[in-house]
Amino acid sequence: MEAFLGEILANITTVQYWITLVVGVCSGLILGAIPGVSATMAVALIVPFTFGMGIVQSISLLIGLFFGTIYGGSIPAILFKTPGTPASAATIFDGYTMMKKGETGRALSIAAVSMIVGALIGTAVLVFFAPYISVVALKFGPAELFAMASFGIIVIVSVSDTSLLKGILSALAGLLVSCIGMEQMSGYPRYIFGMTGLMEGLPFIPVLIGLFAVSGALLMNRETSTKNEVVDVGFCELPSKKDFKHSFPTMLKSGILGALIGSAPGAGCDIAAFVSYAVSKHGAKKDDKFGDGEPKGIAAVESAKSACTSGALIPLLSLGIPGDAVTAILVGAFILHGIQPGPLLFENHAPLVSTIFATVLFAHILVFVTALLSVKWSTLILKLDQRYIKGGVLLLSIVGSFALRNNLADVWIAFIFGIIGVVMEKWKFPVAPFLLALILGQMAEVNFRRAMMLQEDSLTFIFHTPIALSILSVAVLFFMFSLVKRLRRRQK
Amino acid sequence: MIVDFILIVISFFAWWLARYFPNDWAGVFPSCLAWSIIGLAILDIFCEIFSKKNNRDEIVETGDSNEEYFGKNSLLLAICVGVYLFMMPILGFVFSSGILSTIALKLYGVSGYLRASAFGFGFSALIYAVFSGIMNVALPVGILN
Repeated sequence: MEAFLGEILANITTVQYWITLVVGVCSGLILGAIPGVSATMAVALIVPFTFGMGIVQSISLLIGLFFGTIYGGSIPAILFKTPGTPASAATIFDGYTMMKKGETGRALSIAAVSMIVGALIGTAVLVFFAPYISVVALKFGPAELFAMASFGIIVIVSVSDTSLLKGILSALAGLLVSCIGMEQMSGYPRYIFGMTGLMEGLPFIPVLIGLFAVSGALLMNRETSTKNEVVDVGFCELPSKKDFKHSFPTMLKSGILGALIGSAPGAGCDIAAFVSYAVSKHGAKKDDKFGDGEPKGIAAVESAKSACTSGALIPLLSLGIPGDAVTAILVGAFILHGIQPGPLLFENHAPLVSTIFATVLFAHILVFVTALLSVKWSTLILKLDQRYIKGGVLLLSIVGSFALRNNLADVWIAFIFGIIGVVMEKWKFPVAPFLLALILGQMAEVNFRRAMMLQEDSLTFIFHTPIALSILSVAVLFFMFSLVKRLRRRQK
Repeated sequence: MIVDFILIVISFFAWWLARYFPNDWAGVFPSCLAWSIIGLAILDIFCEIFSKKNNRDEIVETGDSNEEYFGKNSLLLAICVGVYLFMMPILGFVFSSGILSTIALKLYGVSGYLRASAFGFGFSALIYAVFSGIMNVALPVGILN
């Protein structure tokens, strides 16, 4: 036991360990805040730098970077309505509205605190329940993944601000757009019109940038004031007691939900963020104003996102299965250092596993501290003339879309979706169902087809898998409850 | 209602194209989606026609408090962005982006061409330096260079 603890302490008390962790977190926060740089891209960019490092240093750099990027994406989402990462898109709904009201400091501090609450929950789940959850996660087949994708879409539709019909239409339009690209089962290219760049489907980042940032840049301001309202904040801003008390239950619920979604192989932080937002909105009280600057909206998204990052490590460490694209790159980093993630990792490299657990905790704490310290600086940017900010956002959107694949076609995609975003906003079509359906469309279609093939092309596959059936039943209940609620409201 | 009509046209086009997909499943999913959208869009049109009066009342009640709007300047800016995307490979990123952001700033209401162009070209050069120099993004340099 002493040798075991000694090895862990030796790992985490070196200067190199802390330098790589701090560098990872800081560069993650910066890269995540740049539109167009996803967590996957950031981690992939940094992996070559870890070749010459030891396993502990490279893991601390990559984990710090991963967590930093995921949180960093929320900063431009709140400040400029420009999500740095797909998961941060859900932060816009309440975060940007709070910024417009001059409550940027409040929004950012709630985001930071929610992040650490979610992170602690996620880490606790990772440390104490990883072996149990991985047993359930191992049962996740095509039917369960289809059920999960459908759950996300149905839940987000049922909490649409406008009519339910418009929400369904928006989701169906998103699913139709997700058909662009190669059909994964037959390999047939659909709706690509000879453009080989569309074979992999529409890239999400330019779509996100278009829907939120470009559409915002195309709109003109009616008001005569050129300055954003900004309430001055302290050097290290924390949310008020009232806000914390108000949002804490949401942080807890979303943290657990985020960790569970993250632990399912194939489900990423974007699903966790949107589903958690929808679930919180569904259970909102009368006074809660989701979509109009509600702190619980930010709390739900940020808590779920950070818990999901820890949750995603569960299938990676315990089963050797990467939960998403970022953890797939992490698997590569492990193998590069001669370590095979999986059940044997806990037996053969127990001190390393404990070091990873400690790194996860330290990385989250570092992100939290850096996030709190950056609140004041972030609000200072908003004191600039908002016309210049808008001009800057337009240019950053263009370069952010281009940077993804060094392809001008991606900027065209962002521009087209910018116009679609304007149209949707003008005629009150909810963006969230469209976006989530676009992200989950391929996952839903491919897994639906696979699940059907496993049951000899029979739709009864849902009834053969209790997990899928339970997930879909909950989704249907959500939808029915929302329908009844709306009908009652109309009768009143 | 306009969005419903757009959705009907796009879905009809999607279904029409899906008929020519060789594989059965490749066409089934988009076709089902297309017809569902057409059906629901028609339903939405009817709903909007019947609830038109209520909507009018709602608009009168809430007023137009939206501080952002799509006007003539927005349309002009959208056209400029379209032209810019065609011109970027020719003029290069810094030059074309400088012109675009100068126009955008003028449309947003910034007074003085010098101030707008100084910010536009300065910010474009800064972005170019960061993305091209540090992050190795191959931004177009243009044939003029």
